[in-house]
Amino acid sequence: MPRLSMLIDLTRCIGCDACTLACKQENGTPFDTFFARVLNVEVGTYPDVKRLYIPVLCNHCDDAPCLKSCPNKAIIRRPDGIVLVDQDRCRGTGACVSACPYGNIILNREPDSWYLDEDEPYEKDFVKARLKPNVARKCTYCAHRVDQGLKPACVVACPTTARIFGDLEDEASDISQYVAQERETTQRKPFHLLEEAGTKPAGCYLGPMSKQDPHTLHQTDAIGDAKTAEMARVPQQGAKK
Amino acid sequence: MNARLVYLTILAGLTATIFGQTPTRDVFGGSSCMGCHGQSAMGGLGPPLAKTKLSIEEFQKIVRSGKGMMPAIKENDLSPGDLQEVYTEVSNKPWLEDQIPIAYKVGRFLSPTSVSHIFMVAFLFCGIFAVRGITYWLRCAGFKQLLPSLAKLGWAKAIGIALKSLIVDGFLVGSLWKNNKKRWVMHGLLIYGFCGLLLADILIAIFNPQRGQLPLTDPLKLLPIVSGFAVALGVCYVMYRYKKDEYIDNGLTLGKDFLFVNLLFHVAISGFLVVTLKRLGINDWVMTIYLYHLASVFLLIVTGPFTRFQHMYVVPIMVAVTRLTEAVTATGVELGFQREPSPGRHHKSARIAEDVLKQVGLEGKVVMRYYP
Repeated sequence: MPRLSMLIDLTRCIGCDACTLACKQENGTPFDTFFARVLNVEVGTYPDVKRLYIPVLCNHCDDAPCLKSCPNKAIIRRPDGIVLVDQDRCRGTGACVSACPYGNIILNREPDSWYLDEDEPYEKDFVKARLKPNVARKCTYCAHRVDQGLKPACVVACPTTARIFGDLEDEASDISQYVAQERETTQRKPFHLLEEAGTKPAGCYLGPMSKQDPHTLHQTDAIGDAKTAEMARVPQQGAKK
Repeated sequence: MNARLVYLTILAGLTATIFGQTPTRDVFGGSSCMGCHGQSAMGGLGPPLAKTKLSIEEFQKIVRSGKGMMPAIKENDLSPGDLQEVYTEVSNKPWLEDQIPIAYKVGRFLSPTSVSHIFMVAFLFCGIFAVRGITYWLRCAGFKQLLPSLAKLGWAKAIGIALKSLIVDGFLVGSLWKNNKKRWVMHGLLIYGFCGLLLADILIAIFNPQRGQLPLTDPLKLLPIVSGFAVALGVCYVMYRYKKDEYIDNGLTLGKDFLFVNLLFHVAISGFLVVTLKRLGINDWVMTIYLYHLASVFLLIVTGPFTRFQHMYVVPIMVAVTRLTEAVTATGVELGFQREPSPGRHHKSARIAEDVLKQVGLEGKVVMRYYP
């Protein structure tokens, strides 16, 4: 049974919001609706201040509270782990909005407005047909792309490959290899958001590295590509000698 | 009772025709006594009466005024002569140890008091886990983080909004009223049926603690029958929907949903069967089905906090929290913005940020720069 998941490496995220825009473009979401957000957090007081970018999106939880709280059975969990809000079944009751501990379900009571006065064909035929007014919406892990063998738009758009998407159950997938590689080279283990909520999220994170070793960075350049990793390691071993 | 009598008369007539002799009169067999005390008077839900050690006076007193679960049987239903006959018949019946049915072995532990104690324990169990569940859901909703904003909004106003939502969105199922009348009717039948049953149970416990037999027109009898009928009708529609709706499997809770719906179905149908069979006088099955009914109600209550039953309180509470959060944002008491497409997102985002910083070992004052 596959379990699709997204790993976000906080070391790599530069807070450029490319994911936010790519998501908006792909899903054609209306004004003020963001499925992929980047939290902009400052920690500490001057002069000892750090800034951290935390990309957040639907975690597609195994034990999804939104799904369990839906009175209309409008939220479904696919066998591959993607949790979807059925736009036709949803009645906009609003229970899931509060049930989601991550605040990633969007339910707008006001009429939708888009950015341009006239609809583009893409919005008319593709977007508006999928996004019904006055119902709950959320990130779909770009299910329509995944079904075609593509990666989610935010993953493709990320300039620093901070987002790694794949099947956690498959050892050969990008995400499994990246997790294994990071565990070995930087000793970082993936963690989930709000673990105490008990929702068993699919999305996971790798923490920032405050002290970075250029050699380990060099190694982690190769994401899921064993051959490149091997090539990267060779001159490094030579340099040590 | 009448059907039984007709049947027995026909049988007696047939026997007499075939064997050419008049059989002895079987008052016990023709009375409602047999339903609980067994065909051979070796017990059912009630105790065995064969070779009874009771004196005729004691026997009469119990029959006329009832005892425990046994209803009082008045002279309209059993004449003094027939009562005497029944006593003589059962005293002369042989004691057949192997004829004592399981229903009696189970049933003798059950009196109205013991049944109410069992259900009190079940409700307590259900209550404890329901409260545990509610705290889980409130934790998910970030209710603790919302409390300071509610204080700014004013407690009276907040309680007003929550109560209004619980009544309109919860008890009156407002969203279905607006969107889908058919499903609203189904929910109404179940919710108000349940409320009627609960109310009836409380009223019976107050006004008829011995559960004596009442006429059909008595409000205490009418209320549970009408409510039970409403629940049965509602649950039949749910069952139909489960069969018909191909999207009923949401990939996570189907098993638990089915358990709840089936238990509810069994409760409603067995409850109805008990009343119907009793009225028709088919007493042999009454106690077995009654025990089955009690067992299904018990299971329905104790499994409640873990099955789809819980959406009865989870959905209204979560919707109420959504309404509260919307009110907080709309009045601008939180952060100054008056529009938030995902109510509660700002305090949930702050909670996520704090949690991440804790998990990655960063300490210090946390400031959210903006909330996309």
